[in-house]
Amino acid sequence: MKSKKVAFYGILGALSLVLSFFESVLIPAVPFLPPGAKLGLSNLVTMYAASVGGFFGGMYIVLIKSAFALVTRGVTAGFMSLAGGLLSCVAVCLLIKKEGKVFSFFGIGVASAVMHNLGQLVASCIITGTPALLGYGKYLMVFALITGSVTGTALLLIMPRLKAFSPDRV
Amino acid sequence: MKGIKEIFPSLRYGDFIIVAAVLVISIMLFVFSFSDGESLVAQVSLDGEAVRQVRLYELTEKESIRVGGCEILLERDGVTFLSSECPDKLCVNRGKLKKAGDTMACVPERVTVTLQSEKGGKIDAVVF
Repeated sequence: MKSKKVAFYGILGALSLVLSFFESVLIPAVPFLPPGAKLGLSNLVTMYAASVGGFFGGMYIVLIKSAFALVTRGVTAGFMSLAGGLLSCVAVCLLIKKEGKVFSFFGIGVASAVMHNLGQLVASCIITGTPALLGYGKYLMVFALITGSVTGTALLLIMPRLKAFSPDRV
Repeated sequence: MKGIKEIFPSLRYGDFIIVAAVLVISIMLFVFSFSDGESLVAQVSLDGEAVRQVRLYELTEKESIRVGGCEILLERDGVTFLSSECPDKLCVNRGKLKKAGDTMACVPERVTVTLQSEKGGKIDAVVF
């Protein structure tokens, strides 16, 4: 791996961790949130990395995030983070090929948020061994629609500006 | 604001498909799960000892059982005392027990029915 690449994903990984922390401070300030609900700000970084570096670019960020969760919050959190990140990264990579023609970053953000929640839900069903948890999916779906719209809109505004800084090849 | 004006022109038809798909799926999930109700478990006891425990959501059709002097109807959405040999018929008049935590006792016949939500069926907390 070239040193430029290491530095690039290192900075992005650090950014995603900071955003995760930032939103964990924000969440208690908002009442009536379903448990497990998150804005998904760090997902912005995954989406950006996937749009620059493809599937593996996104996965570097996902791996950094889940490794951090593993170390700081334990095996369960790490596994859930990995499951959600993997699914959302796959979704982003599939949709981003048609970006600008069929989809904008808005739709990609929504799809990514939905898949992220789906991955975490499936992971929590596997860990606890209670398929009944899937019934919780409907709340997460609605919530992902909202958070995905927010992050998607943010991405829509950020991307054109970031393109000027993005390295051509990392 | 310049930024806000950029949003609408950059939307593509695929975005609407994604949003519509998510909406349709979540609405369908809501509709199906509400008709399904909670994962209720009925516990029927005689003389304070559990006689039968029935997962109501697993019932495919109505089932009526006799416990002591009472005839009890078990359905997917609740439990009813159909008849009782007791003099006051309080249990029969109570109607259908529908929610977790609902309890009815036919004291003269020493029969009790308690509805519980199955363990794991209801979420206390999810930690991410």
